[in-house]
Amino acid sequence: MEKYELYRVMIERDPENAQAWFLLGEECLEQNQLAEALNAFSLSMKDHKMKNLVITSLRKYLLESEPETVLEPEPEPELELETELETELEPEPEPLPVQLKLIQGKVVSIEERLPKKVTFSNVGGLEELKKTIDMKIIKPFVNPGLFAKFRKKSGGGILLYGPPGCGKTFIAEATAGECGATFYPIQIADILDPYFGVSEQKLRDVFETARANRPAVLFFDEVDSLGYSRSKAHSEHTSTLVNTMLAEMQSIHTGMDKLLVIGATNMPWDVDAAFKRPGRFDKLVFVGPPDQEARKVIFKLKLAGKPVENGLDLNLLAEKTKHFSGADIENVVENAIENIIVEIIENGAERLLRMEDLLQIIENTKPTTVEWLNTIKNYIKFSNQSGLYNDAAKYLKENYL
Amino acid sequence: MIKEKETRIIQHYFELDRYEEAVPSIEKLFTNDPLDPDAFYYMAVVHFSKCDYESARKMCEQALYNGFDSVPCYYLIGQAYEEEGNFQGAEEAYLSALELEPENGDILASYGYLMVKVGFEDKALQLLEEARRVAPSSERVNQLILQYYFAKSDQNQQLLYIQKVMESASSEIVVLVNLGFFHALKNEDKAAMEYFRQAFLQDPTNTDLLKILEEYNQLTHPLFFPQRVIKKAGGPAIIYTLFMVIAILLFFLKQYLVLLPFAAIYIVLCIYTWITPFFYKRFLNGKI
Repeated sequence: MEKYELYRVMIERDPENAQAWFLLGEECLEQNQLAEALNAFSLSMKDHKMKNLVITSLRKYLLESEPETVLEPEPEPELELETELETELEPEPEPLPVQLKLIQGKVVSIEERLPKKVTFSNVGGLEELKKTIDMKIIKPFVNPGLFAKFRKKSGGGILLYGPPGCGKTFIAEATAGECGATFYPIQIADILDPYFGVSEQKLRDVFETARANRPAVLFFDEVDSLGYSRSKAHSEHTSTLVNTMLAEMQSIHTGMDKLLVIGATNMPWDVDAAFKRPGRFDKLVFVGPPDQEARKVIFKLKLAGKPVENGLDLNLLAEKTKHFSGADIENVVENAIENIIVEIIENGAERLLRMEDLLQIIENTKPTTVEWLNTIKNYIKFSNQSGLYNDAAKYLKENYL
Repeated sequence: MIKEKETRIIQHYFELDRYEEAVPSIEKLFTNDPLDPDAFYYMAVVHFSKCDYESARKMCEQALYNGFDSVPCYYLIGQAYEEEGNFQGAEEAYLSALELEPENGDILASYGYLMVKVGFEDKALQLLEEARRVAPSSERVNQLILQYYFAKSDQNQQLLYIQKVMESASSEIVVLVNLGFFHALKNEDKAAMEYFRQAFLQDPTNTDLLKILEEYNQLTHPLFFPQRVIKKAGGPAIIYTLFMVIAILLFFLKQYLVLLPFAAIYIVLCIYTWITPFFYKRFLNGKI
């Protein structure tokens, strides 16, 4: 242990001494204190020159320890006899009605377990929206040079709004993917806490974590329930949460770059007006119902792997489902499948999913986006003086009115 | 801990008047304890918000049976009965709640307003006065007294209670709506419309406010200028009488050259006032 103490003293005098950390690591390895050794090695690797030495040392340790793990004590003959006797005495288990087979699998790597990175290539259609997000969000975030020249900040906040079920969350995830940033989705349940002041602390922690892992995208789903308009709220609890969030967002504006805050909401009118001022969610992006191309892609995805007849006209399906959200289209496919299953159970004759089945369901289904579109239409009619909802107004004029 | 956390989420959604969004958390409370009285009461509130009054009552009765605080339960049951039109059931529930808490202003006011509905005006006024005495700064009490004076068409009291509701209002939207009514009562249409517009912007899902706004929008549209002039002159009956008198006078004076264009103008005006509402609804209403 003398060496150990000596290296400790050296490190205390100069914590940046990579060689001392390396020697301490080697000493710990000799003492079989693996955790401490790894810690010391990782600190020594701050100096890149030490990298090879550390690898050699660890390799040597692993080679030395390998025989110990391979060599297992052979079972004693007496013990083996006993187990043999036991197995003979036990009655034979009855064969199972279904023969279970060992699945010939492969070792699953951690990469496969990690969430897949989503980019705009995974989003079908919605070209105009992608272009808007690319110009308003991704380009300033990825190439801040030009924007910095004009003293335009990158990062900040974006509020995605639109009818429910139209893929706001997916778009936000894809935006994070395009920015090459870590995606932190936050729900209201992650923040709210029964104890006084803890919710606010949790909210601060979320921002702190994102800051520590830049570049990052913080995504607040249903931001209206967290940043609810203070003038409409019935209690003080909501106000303190809103104040905390405003302060955190303001701090991004003043000092931080490479941290993007994306909020999504179906009810932009419920979001506190302070969030819509410059420096907070200063860009509002309308995520409308999927366009024809997007609906075609959604149908293709939802019908994949299902027993469908050849030659389904996806173009016709997309054409007939104007204003349908992604969730509505999924519902159409699910209902059609359900009807077929009922029919098969009643008649006993199996058949594939046909075009008529889908068209019949579409005819009897009303898009869930209509109610929302009516609400925003009235809202724009009586309010849009600041032009905040111009893109929604444009969509309504082109597609709805 | 699960209960505290989920209760916090439920209360948060209730504060935002988003009752249906609290359902997943209420279901978690049921999973945790299928007999949880709080969960039954919360579910009753959700059903009430969805106008499913029968389910709201049943849930509330179960909450009461499982040990939830009796006063809010009886109060909610009373409100549900009142909405269903079962005034006797509502009265019984309000009386049960008042037996336990006789100085609850909100319940006294609700019971008083129920009496207005069934026609016992003296008793209603007595109850509302008592409610005002025990809870002078309650928003609900002032709102119900205001509704009483609306029913009685007492304009002075209406203006007074509009001010009182505004003073006790917990949210801006209530203030704006009442300011709208305040100006509407004074026939200040433009100011009233502006306040209703601002209130609507706070809650664009409010269909009642939308209806009021649509009406004001129509009233103030340039297309309806002749109608506004007719209204100011005393209404279509006055205009018609005036036309007839002038027409007869011109006829007896044998001023046919004046009478003919005069009659033509009147007929055009009549046709115009008939077709403009249709034209407005067909081509202008709903446009942004």
